[in-house]
Amino acid sequence: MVLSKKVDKWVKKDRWIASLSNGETIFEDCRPINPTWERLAEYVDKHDLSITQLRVQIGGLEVKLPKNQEGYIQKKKAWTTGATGGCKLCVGYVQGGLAAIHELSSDRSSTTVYVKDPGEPWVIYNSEIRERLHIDNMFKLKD
Amino acid sequence: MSTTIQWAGGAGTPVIQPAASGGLNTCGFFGSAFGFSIRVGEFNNTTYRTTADGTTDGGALPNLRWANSSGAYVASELVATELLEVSNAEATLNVLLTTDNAVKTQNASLRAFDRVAINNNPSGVTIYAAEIAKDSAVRGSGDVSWTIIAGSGSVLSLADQTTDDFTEHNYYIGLSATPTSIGEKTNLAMYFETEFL
Repeated sequence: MVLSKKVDKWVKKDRWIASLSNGETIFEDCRPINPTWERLAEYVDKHDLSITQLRVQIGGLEVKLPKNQEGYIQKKKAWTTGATGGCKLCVGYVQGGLAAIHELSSDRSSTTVYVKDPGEPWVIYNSEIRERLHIDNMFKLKD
Repeated sequence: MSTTIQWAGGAGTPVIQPAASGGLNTCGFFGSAFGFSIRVGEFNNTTYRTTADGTTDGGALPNLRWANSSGAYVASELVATELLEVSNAEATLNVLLTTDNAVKTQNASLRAFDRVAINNNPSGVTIYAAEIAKDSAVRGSGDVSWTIIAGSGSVLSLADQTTDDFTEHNYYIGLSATPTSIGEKTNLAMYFETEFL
């Protein structure tokens, strides 16, 4: 599984950075394969890891999310009116079924929205929650 | 990441140019032919790519005319077609999201607004919209019925595309317009947004 553990040629200036429970740091990359977030989800699942913190560097600013949440969210939002348009980098975290998501633009504007936990693949849960979800799914399959 | 959103007719042509171009950047609804008006309470018989002032014929876009809550007259047909039987190429618009990396999308939506603020209703016109999703002979899986879209109060939600990762995501949208008063209507624009991984 290919991930950037340091700033290399695949890592752009505007990016998210995930700190993992084994001390590793993963940088969002732009490899022409599936999204980094998906690869990270596979990686933490395979090695039974959690994201301990997620931060974003955009427009020369860094935004840090609270540590050790139940799960972290990452997605992009593209929009257009025909006259104007853009792309926002959205990061957030989940607690108790709710999500706080910060929508950040490279012009340094930001909006925070509170929504229901959107679930996987948008959320990468910590290992404890993932284990619980897997057990729940096993019971559902048995039903 | 380089991300673009392109607006075009259902078959991918003609491409509606970005507004900043000052060129053929508008989807215009007309009566029986280009430049002809639509009577109050009636619906578009033709749809064209045009300029912001609606004076230049930039080529026909596929026309869908509202027939009933779940049907449309496709092009010049006299018998209504169920929205689920309208093909992608017959949709008024094809909105194409292109990304560098293959991605999944969710929460895509389209809204009509007054060109001032995306939360405002369009002025002097009612817009009916439906997602079209029929790319084969099989019955489509888009919207069964039309939705009146108006500002943030009523938006057209488009299906999530999460089964696999792609660098191109296409959305096909049927639109039909009816004026609520006489006179040219220019306080109308479309806003599209989508989320992706």
